[in-house]
Amino acid sequence: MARSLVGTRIRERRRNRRMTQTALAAAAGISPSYLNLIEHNRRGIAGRTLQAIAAELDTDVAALSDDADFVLINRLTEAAKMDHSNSAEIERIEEFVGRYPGWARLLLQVSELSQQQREKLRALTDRMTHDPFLSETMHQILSNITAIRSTAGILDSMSDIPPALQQKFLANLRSESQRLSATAEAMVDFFDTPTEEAATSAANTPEAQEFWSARGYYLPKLEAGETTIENLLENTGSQAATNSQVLRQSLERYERIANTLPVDVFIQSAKDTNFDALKLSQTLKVPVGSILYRLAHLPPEPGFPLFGLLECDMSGAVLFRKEIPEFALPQYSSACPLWPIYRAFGRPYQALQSVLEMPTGGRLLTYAYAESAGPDRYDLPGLLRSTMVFTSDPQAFPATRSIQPPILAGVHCSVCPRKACAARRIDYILA
Amino acid sequence: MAGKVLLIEDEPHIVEAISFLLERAGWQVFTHSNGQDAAEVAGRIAPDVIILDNMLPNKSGIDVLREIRADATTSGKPVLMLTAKGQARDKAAAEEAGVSMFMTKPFSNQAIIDTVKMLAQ
Repeated sequence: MARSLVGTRIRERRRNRRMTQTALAAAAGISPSYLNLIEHNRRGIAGRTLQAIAAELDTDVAALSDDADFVLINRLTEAAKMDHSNSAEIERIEEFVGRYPGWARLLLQVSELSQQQREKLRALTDRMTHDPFLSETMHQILSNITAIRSTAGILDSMSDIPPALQQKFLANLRSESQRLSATAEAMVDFFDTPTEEAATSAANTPEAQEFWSARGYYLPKLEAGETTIENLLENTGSQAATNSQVLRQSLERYERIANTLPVDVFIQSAKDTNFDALKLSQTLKVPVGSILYRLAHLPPEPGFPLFGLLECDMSGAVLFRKEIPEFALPQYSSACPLWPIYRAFGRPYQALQSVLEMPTGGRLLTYAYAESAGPDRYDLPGLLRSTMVFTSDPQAFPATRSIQPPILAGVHCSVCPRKACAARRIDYILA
Repeated sequence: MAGKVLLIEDEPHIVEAISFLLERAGWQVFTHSNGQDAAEVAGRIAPDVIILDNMLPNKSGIDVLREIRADATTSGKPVLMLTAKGQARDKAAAEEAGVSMFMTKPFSNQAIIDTVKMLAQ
């Protein structure tokens, strides 16, 4: 809490009026030394003395009050703490706000605008890095350019090419140019979607996502009781992360599940059950949802498959995501509707085991499970959350005879070459 | 004849351009366009150099590379992997799987001729 700035404001107004401390103190009926203490905010002031000073300074008591400045000071202090260079003299913020309130408000405006721009940039960067559409499209564009460059290089540098072959290469150039043009147009359309809309459409805030990703989705000190959620939140290095309710809730859930499923016991049981989620649930007598969550929140362990995780609500919005190197997840919703994470909503509290075969031929073993996402209420239908874990590690795959044929799935319709897929809702945009 | 090259790439115009370049440089070029049975084809042809695209239909280039390295007849063959910029994760996985060299798309014609020649030595 910031201290009172009434004294600072009195001093500024007195100086502006070129009045001495002695004269003002006399008018207010106090000693100059006491006024000096008041002006340096070392003594409080109220009542008749404040009224007398306000009248002598030709202002009113409200103009000298603290209410508005407290908010300004607190927000500026918050902004200063987010500056890692620590160059602002935070201990003198009250003096700054008291003496230059106009500049202080302007600085706060600039700081908040900068913070908003940072958030937008982060959302855009995240989108560029993780979006499967962009990844596929960039690959397509680079392939087009490679074909054009090589073909043009041949035509340009070799004069003895037979005419029929020359015509063939020219036709290839035309075709590749057209494909490049179509792909570029699709990319422009893609970027026409506002970033802010995408950034706010998912509950997995950038702060929470960064926090978990930076820590490898595993918090050994929290599990060992060597730190607390409060400590973790305070030391994120980001005010937005510290204040994030989504991050706080995810930490509380992690702590709850980690307490129920201690890491050593869980890893051993997972190995004993060949990483089978349902058998693990039965062995450890813990709901499948917690088992799936824990599978994706473990330390790297030799001989233990790496599991990714995706969670969404009933609207399909992504709540939590953990990628694995072999499988890029869409940052937001609109993934392949064939993924079992969506099918699980139709069969709540039933564990689904499936194998997905992606267009590249890679296979993923998945477990999906939908369960209640909050307390039941008389006036609302039950809210469900669906969780899916996945791994490409062959050792986690069960015996072929005990599992259904693979589901021919993709990541997103626009980059999925399965043109006849019944679930298709968007054209395949890569020519 | 400089030797045999197997080009595993699904983009037909890239295949035509690279094949033309390498054939003019004296190589006998074999081509294959999907990942499904690429490793098996490599075992049958026994090329001196394998050029392998990272993104193939039905099976990724990295999976194909693992199969090539796991087969005694092809495990020692030099493999040049074609990647796109920004595929740092794929590169790390390919290095782990035993790739000989990367070439980032787009590349120059001379670069691919020189690289294949160097890998075959």
